[in-house]
Amino acid sequence: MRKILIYELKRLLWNRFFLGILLVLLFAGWQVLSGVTLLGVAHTAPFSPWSFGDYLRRMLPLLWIGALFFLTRFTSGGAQRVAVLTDATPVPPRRYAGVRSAAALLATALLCLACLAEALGFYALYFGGEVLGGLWAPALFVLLPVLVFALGTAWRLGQKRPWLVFAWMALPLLLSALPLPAELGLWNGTLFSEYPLRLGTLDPAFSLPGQAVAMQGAFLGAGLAALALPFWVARR
Amino acid sequence: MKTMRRFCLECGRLLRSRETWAVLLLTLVSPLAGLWLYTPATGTTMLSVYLANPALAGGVIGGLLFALLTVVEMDRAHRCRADVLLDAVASPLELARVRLAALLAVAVGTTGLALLLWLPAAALRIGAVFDGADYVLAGVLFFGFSLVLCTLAAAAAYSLTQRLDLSLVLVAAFAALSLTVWSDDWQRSWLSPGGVWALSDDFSNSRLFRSVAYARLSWLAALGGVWGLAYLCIRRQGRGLLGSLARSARRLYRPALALLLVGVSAFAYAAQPFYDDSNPDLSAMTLYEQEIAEGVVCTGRTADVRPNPARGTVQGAATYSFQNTSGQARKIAFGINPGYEIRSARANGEDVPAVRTGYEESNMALVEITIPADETVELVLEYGGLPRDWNLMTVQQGDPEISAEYLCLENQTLAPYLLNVAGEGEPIPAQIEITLPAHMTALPFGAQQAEVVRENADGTVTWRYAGAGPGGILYAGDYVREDVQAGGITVQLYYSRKHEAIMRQADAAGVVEAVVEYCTAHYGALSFGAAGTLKLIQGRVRGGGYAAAGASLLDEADFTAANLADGQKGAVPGEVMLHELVHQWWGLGNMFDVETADSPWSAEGLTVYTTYRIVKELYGEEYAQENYVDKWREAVQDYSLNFYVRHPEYLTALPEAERLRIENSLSTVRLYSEMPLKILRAQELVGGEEAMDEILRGLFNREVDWNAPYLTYPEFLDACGLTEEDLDLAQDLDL
Amino acid sequence: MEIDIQGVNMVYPNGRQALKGLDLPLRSPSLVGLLGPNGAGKSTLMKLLVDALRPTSGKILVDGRPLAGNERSLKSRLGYLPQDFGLFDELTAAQFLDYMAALKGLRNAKEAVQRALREVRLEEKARARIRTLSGGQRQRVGIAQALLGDPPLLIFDEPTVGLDPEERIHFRTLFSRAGQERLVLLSTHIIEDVQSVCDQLVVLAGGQIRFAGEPAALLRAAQGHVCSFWERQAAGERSLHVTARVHTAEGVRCRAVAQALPAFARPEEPTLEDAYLYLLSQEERP
Repeated sequence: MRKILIYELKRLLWNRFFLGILLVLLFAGWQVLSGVTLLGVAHTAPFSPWSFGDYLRRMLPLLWIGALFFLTRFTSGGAQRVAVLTDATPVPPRRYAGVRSAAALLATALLCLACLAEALGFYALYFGGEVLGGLWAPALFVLLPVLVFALGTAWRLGQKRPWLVFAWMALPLLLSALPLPAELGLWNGTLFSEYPLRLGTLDPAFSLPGQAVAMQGAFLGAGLAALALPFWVARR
Repeated sequence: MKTMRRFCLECGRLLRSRETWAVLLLTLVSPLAGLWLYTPATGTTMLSVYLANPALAGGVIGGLLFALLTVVEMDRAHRCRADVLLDAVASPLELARVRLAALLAVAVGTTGLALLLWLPAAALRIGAVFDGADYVLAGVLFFGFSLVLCTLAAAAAYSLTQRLDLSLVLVAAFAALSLTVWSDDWQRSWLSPGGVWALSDDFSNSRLFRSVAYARLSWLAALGGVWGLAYLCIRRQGRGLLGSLARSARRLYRPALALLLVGVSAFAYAAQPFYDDSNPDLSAMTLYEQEIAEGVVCTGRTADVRPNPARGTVQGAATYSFQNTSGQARKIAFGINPGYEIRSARANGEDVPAVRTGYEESNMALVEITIPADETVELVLEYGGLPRDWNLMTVQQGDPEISAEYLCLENQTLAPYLLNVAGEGEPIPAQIEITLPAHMTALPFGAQQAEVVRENADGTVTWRYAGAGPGGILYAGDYVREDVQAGGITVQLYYSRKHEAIMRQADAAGVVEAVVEYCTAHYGALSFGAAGTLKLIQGRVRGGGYAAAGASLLDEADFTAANLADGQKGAVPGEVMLHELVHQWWGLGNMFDVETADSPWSAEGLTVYTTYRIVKELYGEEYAQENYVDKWREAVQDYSLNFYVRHPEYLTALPEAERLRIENSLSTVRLYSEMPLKILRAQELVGGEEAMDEILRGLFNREVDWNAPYLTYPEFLDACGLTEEDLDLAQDLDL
Repeated sequence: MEIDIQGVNMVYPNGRQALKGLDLPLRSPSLVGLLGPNGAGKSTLMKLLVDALRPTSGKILVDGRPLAGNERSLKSRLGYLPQDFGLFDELTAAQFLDYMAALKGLRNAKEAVQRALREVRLEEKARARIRTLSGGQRQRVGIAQALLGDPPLLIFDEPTVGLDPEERIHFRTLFSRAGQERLVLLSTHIIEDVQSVCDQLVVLAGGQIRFAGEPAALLRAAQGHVCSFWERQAAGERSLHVTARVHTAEGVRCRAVAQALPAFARPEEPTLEDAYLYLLSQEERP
C-alpha cells in the first residue's frame, strides 16, 4: 500500500494545479500577514498565538478549498472511470480508501506547512527569530479538525454527486459572513478577536474556551467518522 | 455573419440551460443581501443604505455567480466530451470568443433586468431624495461591472488553465483578495469598488462615480487584456500552452491588442488622476517650514475661479501683489492642488518659470516661482485641472465634488496657496470671484458674504467676496437659507433645497438654537464675525466636519429620513453638526496650537467634551453616558492596550511604511477620546460640572496674548489647579 | 476454473430488465465469445461476473462457491477490461501498470509490468505519460492492466475497439493463446474476432441466451438459409434479410439469410456472421 500512497501523492502534488494553488496561497498569506496580522488581534502581539490563530483562520477558506480540490481528483468523473478498473482488483476497498484519504490529508498538510512556514518567515523578517514559539497549539487547534472535517465530509458528498464537492467549497466563505454563536467563533473570527479580551489579562497565555474545544473536537470526530464510514459500509 | 449566427445560437443555448436561469434569478435577488449581510457603505444616507449597499452586495454575489457560470459553461463541451466534435466545425478560439460574448450579453441583460426590477422598490424606499441618474450609475458601476469583470476573469482563468478546478481556485482567490486585503484599496478592489462608503442624498455624486468608473474601466482593460492573452493560450491542434500561444500569436494584432490593453490598464493604475502622492507621514510639516522669502510681503491677492461642472475641473487665474524690499530676486513657494498645473506664470508682465518640485504633502504640491528684484511685483498665475484628493482619503471617495448641483473648493483647490510670504502686518487681503451656474449660491466658509457682480451671457453668474489669508474655503450649491436667532447672533442655516422638508421635520433650526444658547450661556458669546452672524452650511456627506471662524459644517448624514424614522437614533440627529458648531467656541473662538504626537491636547478634546455636555442636557444622561463616555473609555482602553503602544520598540523596528500606517491609525484616539476623558476626570477633581463650566468660561474669556494666542494644556491645568499626573487615566481605567 | 450462472435476473433501479433467467456454465480452459446486439445485456453480464453489480435474483458460483461473499477470491484471479474505462493521465504507462500491480497485490510487480507491456507491444511507450498516448495505445494500456499477473480468468468487453487491423490480429492471437490455459470471456461486436479464435459462443439478445455452444453448431443451424442473388431479381421480396451488397459490372449482387430461400436465389455456404444474423432474424420474426 505504500506504493499506492506514493503514487497518489505524486498524482496530487506533481502537477501545475498544486503549484498554482501553492502560489495563490502564499500570495494571499502575505497579504493577510502584512495587512491584518501585523496589527495584532485583541491587543496581543502580531506574533502571539492569538494573532497567529487569526491568520490561520483567515487562510482556512483557501486551505479548505485546496483540500477539496485534492479530493476532486478522487471523486471526479474521470476518477470514477478509473474506478471501474481498480474496483475489479482484490484490494480491500476500505484499505484503498484509507490510503487515498491519507494522501489527501498529507497533501493538505503540505499546503498547511507552506502557510505556517510563510508566517514564520514573516515573523522572523519583521520581529526577529526569538518570537517564534508556542505557535503549534493554535495551528493544531485551527487546522487539524477543520481540514479533517473538510476531507471526510467532502469525500462522502463527492461519492454521492461529484459537484457537491464544489458546492461544499463555499461553506467557510458562507460561515465567515454569518453571525454565528460563540462556539463557532473560529469561523467568523470572533474566537481570536474577542475571547482573549474576556480573559481579563494582558497578553494572555494561549487557552481556549471549552465550548470551542468541544466544537473543534466535534468537527474532528465528524471528519474522522466520515472518513471511516467506508470501512464499515459496503459500497454498493 | 457566421460569428453573429453562432453568437445568437450560443445565447439561445445559454438561455435554455437551467444553470443560467438559476444564476440569473439568484443574481436578481442578491441586492437584498446589501440590506443586512454585506454592507460596505457605512454612510447613513438613504442612497448609501438603499442604493449603494444593495448594488454593491448584488455585484459581489452576482459577480461570483457569473464567474461560476462562466467556468462551468466554458468547461461544458470538455465535460460532455463534445469538444472534439465542436472543434471540428469551428476553431476553439472562435468558440471561446462566442461563448464569452454570449456570457457577457447575459451579464449585461441581467444588469438591465435588475435595474428595471428594483426601480420601484428603490424609488419608494429612498423617497424624496431618489435620483434616477444616481440609480442607473450605481446599478451599472457597482453592480453591472462586477458581473462583467467576473465573467472576464473567469473566462481568462479557464482559457489559461483549461481546467475547471484550477480556474475556480484562481477566481476564488482573486475574489477573496478583493474582498479582504484589497477591500479598502479603491484601485485594487476589482470585484466590488473600494472606498464607496456613502452616496449623497442631497447633492450630486459625480466625483465618486467618476473615480469608480475609472477603476472599473481600468480593470475592464486589465482583465480584457489578460483574457486576450489567455485566449491565445487556448489549446489547439494538440499543442500545449506555449505551443498554442506561439501558434495563436502569429496574427500579431492579437497579442498586440491584449498587451496594449494590459499596458493601458497599468498606465491607468499608475497615472490615476484622483489621488495625490502626499507624504504618508502625517506629522510632516515641510510645506509650512519653507524658507521665508526675506523682505517680501504680500499686499493682496485676487482669484478668478471658473469651475467646469460638467467635467469636474477648475480653471482659474490668481494675482498676487508683492512688495519686495530685499532688492533681490526671491523664491516664492506655493502649494497647489496636486491635480492642477500652473499653465502660465507672469511677473510684472514677464513669463517666469513655475517649478513643480515633485514634493506633495497634505494634499498640496509644492511649486516654486522666483520673482524679480523689483520693488513691487504683480504675479499672475493661470492654473487649473482636475483636482486630486489627499491619498489618505481613498477609503472615503467622493471629494472634491464639483458639479452643477454642488461644489466645495478648499484652500489650494480654490487657488494657489502662498506658503512662505505673509501679509503686511495682517492677513493677506483677498478678493475672490467665482463663476457658477445661475441656480447655485456661493457660500464662502467664514464670516464673509458673497455677492453677485455679473450675470453672464452663457447663463452663469459671477460671485465676488472678500477674504483674508492665503487660503479659504468655498461652498456652492442650490441652497435654502433659514435664519436662527440665538445667543445674540444670527445663525444662517444653509441646506440643500432637496432636503427642505426633512430639515423642517427634524427641527434642525431648533437644535442649532439650543446649541448656541448653551455655549453662549456656559462659556460666553462669540466675539468674531461680521455683524454677529454665523454660517452653518450643509455639506455633502463626509463622515465628519470642520469649522472656521464664522462658519461651521453640517453633514447631510446628520439629518436623514432614516435617522428620523429610527426611534433610537432619532433622539439625537445632527451630532456632527453639533460638534462643528461647538468648534466656534473651542478652536476658533479660542485658538489651539497644532497637535503633536506626544500630547493629546487639541481643540478636539474640549469640543468633544462640550458636545457630550450638550447632548447630556438635551437628550439625557443615560444616552450621553452610553454614546460618549463609555465609547471614549472603550477607545482609550483599546489604545492603551494596543501592543505597539505598550511596546513601542517593536513599532520603531518596523519598516517605515508599516510604522506610519500603524501610527496614523492610533493618533485620532488620543485627540477624540483620551482628552475628553481627561477633561471629564478634571471635572470630577475640580468639583463637578458647574465648577468646570466656570473654569472654561474663564479660559474662553481670558485676555489673549497675541504673541502666544494658543490655549495650551498647562494653562488649562493651571486654571483647574491640577497637574498632568492628576489626569493620568491609568488608575481610572484600570489599565 | 468453473463459473456457473444460475437463474440470474438483473433489473436496474429504473425498472429496465437487463437479464432474464440466465443459466450458463463456463469452464476453464476456454475462450468464450459473447455476441449480441446493442442492449442485449452483455456488459451487464460482465459486470455481474466481476462483482461490479449484484444480480436481482439467481446466483453465480465460482468454483462451486457463491460469488457474493467470496469476491476477493474471484478478484485475485481476475483480469478485467471494461468497455468504458479511464486511466490516470498524469502517470506514465509503466507507472499506471505498477499502480495496478500494487492494487492486485502482485509480488514481482516490476517483472509483471514488463511482461504486460511486452504483450501489448507498448515497451516503447512505457515512460510516456498516458495523456500523450493515442486512443489505441490507451486501449492497449487497458488490456495490459488486465493481463497483469497472468490471472486465470480474463474478461474483456470490446477489447479491440480503436485498434488497427494489425493490432487486432495480434490481440486475437494473444487471446487465443490465453484461452488454451485459462478461461477468457470476450464480448465483441466484431464477429471476425470471435470466428477465428473462440471455442465457445454465447449469443445474448433481449437479456436472454439465444445460443450457447460451439461455433460449428451455430453454422450448422444456418445451413440452407443463406443465399445470393441479383438485386434486380428481388424487387418486392420481403422474406429476405440482406446481409451484404456488392457492386459488380453486371449489377448489384446481394447476400441474404432467410427461413426459406426463393427460387431465383443461389444457396451459399454460411459464414459465422451469416449464422449470427440468421439467428437474430429468427428472433425478430413474429
